[in-house]
Amino acid sequence: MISQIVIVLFDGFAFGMLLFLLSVGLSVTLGMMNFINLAHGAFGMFGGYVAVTVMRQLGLPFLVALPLAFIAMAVLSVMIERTLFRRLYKAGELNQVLFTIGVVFVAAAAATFIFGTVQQVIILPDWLRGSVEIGGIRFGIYRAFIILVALIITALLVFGLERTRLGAQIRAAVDNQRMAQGLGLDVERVFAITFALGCGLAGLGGALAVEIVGLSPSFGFQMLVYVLIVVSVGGLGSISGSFAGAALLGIGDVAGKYFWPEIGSFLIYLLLVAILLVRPLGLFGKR
Amino acid sequence: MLKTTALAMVLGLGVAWSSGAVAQETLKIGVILPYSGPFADAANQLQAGIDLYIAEHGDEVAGRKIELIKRDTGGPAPDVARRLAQELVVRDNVDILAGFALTPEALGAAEIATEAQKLMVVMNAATSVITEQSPYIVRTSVTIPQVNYAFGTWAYEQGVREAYTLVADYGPGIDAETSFAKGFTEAGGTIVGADRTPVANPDFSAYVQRVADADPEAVYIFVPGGAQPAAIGKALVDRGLSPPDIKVLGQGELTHPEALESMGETARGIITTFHYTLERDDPLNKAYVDGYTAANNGREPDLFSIGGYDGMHLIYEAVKATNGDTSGDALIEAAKGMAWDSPRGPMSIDPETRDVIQTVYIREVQEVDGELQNVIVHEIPNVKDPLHGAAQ
Amino acid sequence: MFFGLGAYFAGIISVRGWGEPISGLLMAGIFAGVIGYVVSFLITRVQHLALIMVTLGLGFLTYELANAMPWLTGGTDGLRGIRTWPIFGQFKFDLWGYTGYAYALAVLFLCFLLSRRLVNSSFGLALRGIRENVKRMPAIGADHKGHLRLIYAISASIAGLAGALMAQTTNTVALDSLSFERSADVVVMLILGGTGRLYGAILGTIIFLVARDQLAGINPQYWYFGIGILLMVVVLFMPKGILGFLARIVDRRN
Repeated sequence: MISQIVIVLFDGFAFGMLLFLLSVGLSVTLGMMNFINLAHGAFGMFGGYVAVTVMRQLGLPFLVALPLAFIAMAVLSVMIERTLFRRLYKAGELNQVLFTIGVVFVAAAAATFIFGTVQQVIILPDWLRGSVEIGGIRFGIYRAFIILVALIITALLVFGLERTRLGAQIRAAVDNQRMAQGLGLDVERVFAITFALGCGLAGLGGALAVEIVGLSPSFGFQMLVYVLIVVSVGGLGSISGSFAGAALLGIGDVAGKYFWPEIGSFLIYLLLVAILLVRPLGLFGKR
Repeated sequence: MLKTTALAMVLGLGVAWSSGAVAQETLKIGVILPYSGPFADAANQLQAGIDLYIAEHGDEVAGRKIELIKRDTGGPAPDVARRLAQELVVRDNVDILAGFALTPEALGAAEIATEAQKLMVVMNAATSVITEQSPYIVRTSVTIPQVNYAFGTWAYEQGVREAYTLVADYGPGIDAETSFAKGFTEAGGTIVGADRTPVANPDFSAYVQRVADADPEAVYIFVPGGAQPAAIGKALVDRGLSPPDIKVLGQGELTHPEALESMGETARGIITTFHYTLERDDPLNKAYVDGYTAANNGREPDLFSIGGYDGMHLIYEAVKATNGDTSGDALIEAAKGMAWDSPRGPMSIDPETRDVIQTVYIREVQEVDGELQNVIVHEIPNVKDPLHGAAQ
Repeated sequence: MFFGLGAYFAGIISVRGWGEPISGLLMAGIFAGVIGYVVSFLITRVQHLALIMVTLGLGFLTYELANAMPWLTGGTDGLRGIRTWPIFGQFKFDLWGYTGYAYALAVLFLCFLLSRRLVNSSFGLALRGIRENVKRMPAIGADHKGHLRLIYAISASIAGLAGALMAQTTNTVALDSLSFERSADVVVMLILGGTGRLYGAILGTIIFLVARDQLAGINPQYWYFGIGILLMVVVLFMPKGILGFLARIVDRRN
């Protein structure tokens, strides 16, 4: 029994960490600029495609493909942010929703055109395949790898946010945008950097997700729902919130399906509705 | 107020105007498929099968030029499929309805085929009941009970006594679960556990862990094609559930080429049942695979492609037999009992149920020339759908 | 979600042997409205993102519920065996769709008249007050949550009517009528036309559907590329929706 609980916690946590990488960027940008970017999942999708392509066409190893996915998405997002999205910060929520849905449509069509509708495959190096047995429990090596990557990134993010100058600026901009601007902070620039970081992380998450959930042009839509759940449950603009929300969602999902398979698919939605009714701002939301 | 009335009139006029077209010399085939959305890949592969047949056999049959009119349903959307079928019949004057990758969509459009008296060729959707919904429906793909019932019996004959079933929680999955279990238990086997996974399931670890806890002799798996076969395959390996420790059984989607590539070495020994095998050694199949890969940037044909290809074959031959008469009654009569050699092997149309009769192949993943392939280990010829007639 | 509820309701009573369309339509509308009123007690507790997510969550719950009850809903195969009787025992729903078209148009017209009455009534005024300033309404003694609950129930009921219409004119209901994509489509149409305007909704729907039909006819594989571009252009150049854009041009002329 205990070993089952351990394995469910482990698997759920790994899935949750994947969701965390995919959604943390959206949470922070939403909290900072109130900009609803439904195209966030599309960055994850293209991150996955970048990783698959460089591994296939250029034969680069997996560990090189991951940072490349991050960089490519960060650069792409800055380009899109500077040319398109920045016009919309003052626009209403509904217009942002409409515009970014439009972007998702275009992204899906572009992915279909370039890569075809076929499911993409990522070939992992041997040392990431299979599982190890510890105390009679089998742990998937790749899942452990995902957890490791996510924890390192969380540590970097928390450190960056608490200790660096940019981190302080971001916190200021999230807490009170007008005040920060009044104090001479270039909020737009800070935002552009945050946006790039967030989308880069989504790209990284997308690349990591290929092995677990696959990759096709509808990835952007599929993941959007999960990402939105994580963001709303965790609370806007909070890294720890996204972390907790994602872990909760991942573990809840896996545990629900394991212990009560008949109602497994309901559980996360019940959880979502219940949490939001009790805490409309999410678990860690400030406003 | 006035505006609304005017609007109503404009809309009303639009309908009256568009329905006034006349029949033409071309043979119009309305193809209804989910070209976008989560099943886009199935639609594209099926379409490529159709295109290949037309490219090989010319776009003219019995003196009539073939014209395809493609319509997108965007996913499992029976009401959309029905509306599109209606529009195709009424507005575009199509002679034949074709496509139908998904069961709900075929069911949605069936009534239109009956009312309009048009031949409806189901090129993929695989639930038994479909052909019973209209006397104008004929199927060129496969039915799930067809491949799985015999598979259950075979598994028992191979010495498997206990199996656990894990299927996707939707029509086809439940059909697969039922028919495999029926074949297996009637032969004397026991189902020790059965779970159903949500259709859009991103992570299988929980379900696979339940299978591992039960520690059965064999596990039977049915998941929709696409990303899931590889995902579930890898989840199985992570739990140590791979041959030879446990027999992994499934329907052919589980080991389609992309899934094999992704699973790699761990796929070895998985046994699947299917009606089409890419590597089947046969000149017709070789030519088909070569033609297909050449036309599609090296992409290999799959179950969808063969359904579309044979579907077009049926249309061509039926139109030839009626000498260009495209009334639904004439075409369906011509289709009944039709038999031919397809790249998948010999197949025919049951004159009573208008459903496909074909060979079921049982394949095992083995290494051939350094590559993992589905190698046929057993053939069961002339299999009919076991559920037809059972319901009446 | 309410669209799907209405559709399933109309579909299920028809399968169970009551295919009279007009009473079925009304019952489906009332059913959706009642459910909407019950749900509105939850909905009015939250705002902004939480509001969107709670509605989405409820939508997914209903979807999974319908999927888990195949004996009632037909599961993923969809509900089969819907037979709709002729309207007034006279007009059959035929292949050409004339009856269905006229029927749907008549219902649209009635709903539209009703909505217009509603907007111009004192209740409508109260709602507009809430839209302009949520905090001030309670201050002048208006029960804004009550108003919101009521309008939520009414709109749920109209969505239910629409669902029932679909069920009756196509004789099919399946899970996709409860899906996220269906709701997303509706929201897109609404914003496209311009929110908060009755005509906006109609115009947005027409433009979206015609564009989709035409683009999908040209190329079924990539049509959403065109739709995506359309959405982006509308937002960039017509931030108030297409109708708002037209209204501004007219204003300038005058």
